[in-house]
Amino acid sequence: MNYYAAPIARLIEELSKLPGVGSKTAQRLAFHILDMSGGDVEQLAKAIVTAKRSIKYCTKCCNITDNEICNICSNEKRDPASICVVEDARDVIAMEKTREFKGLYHVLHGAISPMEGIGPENIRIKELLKRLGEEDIKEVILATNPNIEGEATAMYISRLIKPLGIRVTRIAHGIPVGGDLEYADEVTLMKALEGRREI
Amino acid sequence: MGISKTEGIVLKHTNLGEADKILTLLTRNKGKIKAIAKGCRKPKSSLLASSEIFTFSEFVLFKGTNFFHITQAETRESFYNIRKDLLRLSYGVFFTEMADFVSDEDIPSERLFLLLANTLYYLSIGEIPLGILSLAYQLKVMDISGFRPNTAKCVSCGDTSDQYEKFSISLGGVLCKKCHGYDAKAMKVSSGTIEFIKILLNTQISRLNNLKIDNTIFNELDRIIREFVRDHLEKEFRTLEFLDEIKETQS
Repeated sequence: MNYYAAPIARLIEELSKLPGVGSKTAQRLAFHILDMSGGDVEQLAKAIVTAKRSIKYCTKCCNITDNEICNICSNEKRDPASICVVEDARDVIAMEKTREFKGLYHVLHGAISPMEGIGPENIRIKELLKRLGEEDIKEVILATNPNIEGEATAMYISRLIKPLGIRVTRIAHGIPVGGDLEYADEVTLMKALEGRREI
Repeated sequence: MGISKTEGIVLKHTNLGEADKILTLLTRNKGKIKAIAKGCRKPKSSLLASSEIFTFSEFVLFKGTNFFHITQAETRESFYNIRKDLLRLSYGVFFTEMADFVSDEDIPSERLFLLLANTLYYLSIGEIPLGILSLAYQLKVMDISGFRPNTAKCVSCGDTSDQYEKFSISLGGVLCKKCHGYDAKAMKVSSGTIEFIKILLNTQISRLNNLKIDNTIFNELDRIIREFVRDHLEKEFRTLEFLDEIKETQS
């Protein structure tokens, strides 16, 4: 039974396709959109369409950008000799927030996952290897997530890169800042001990 | 049902909301269960390590309406080395998918639980050749599921003369010379392969480290076991196809 007029029903249906949005939330959002001014609604619709149309992948690092080459790759102040490999474009932002890393990135757009049937050819490893062959890179930092998929991806990439004579490093694993040693599991503690450093 | 404690291995996980996961656990005394690990994707969560696939932990659970909820977890063994190698990881994922398929919710099977725990242990320490470990695991899982291949006598006439040349997948065992005609699709099998099926079925996983199999026999065994599993479980394992692709790229 249709409770809503057809355009509202369609809006609710489209909104409920978004992650984490159930039919109730979609309904609330749809009615909020209806209450917005015509101009605001047009701005929102335009922003969605423009973002989708103008965003492409950086030809160097595969990060999402609106130019041929992203802002990070085109920034001459950054160190082109080190590349930080991450799984997702959101990880670039997380790394950038640290303000510690001054090199370039490479976004894989996923991780190898036998559970999901995602193999090495399904993520941007080929593009990374091509880049290593063309540019003068001294260090590759593997910053994939420290879970099964991320570890497997890091190991796989390190095996491909090491024969090229490039230094391959992995981000450290350990106790999170503000964490409790008592609740840390054995593997994390072991990794934290392995990666200890003098103070 | 109140709070209970059980040992379990994570077979798979699905993300739920912002920071939770639904874990499929193969437990020692509750069979296969689905449990929600609340907040386990947060970096400071005490459930973080225990909610990873393969991890063997002791879980404290309470039963909700549809799912169990995990309140505490203590990791016993994370089988960390499995994730260090893509081939081993692919085998591990195949083993867990197979265990997930043959196990039933809320029906305990301690044999299957111990078999998976042992197999993951030997997969992580790497003492046993991966191919042999995989064949032994598949045969033992089939045995536990009620599909033990019959190598002791002809599955058609019961002849025990030990003169078998064919293996019938659909009939579930060896066929003697007189009974070849009963299954036109029966596969050719050598006496060495039959002997190895018996060895793999009857030897504990921990004692397979010294076993050496000739390549021809290994390939024949692999073909027969693969068909046997597919035919009787009526399932194409997606992770097995992935494993084949990885083996191909690494060879």
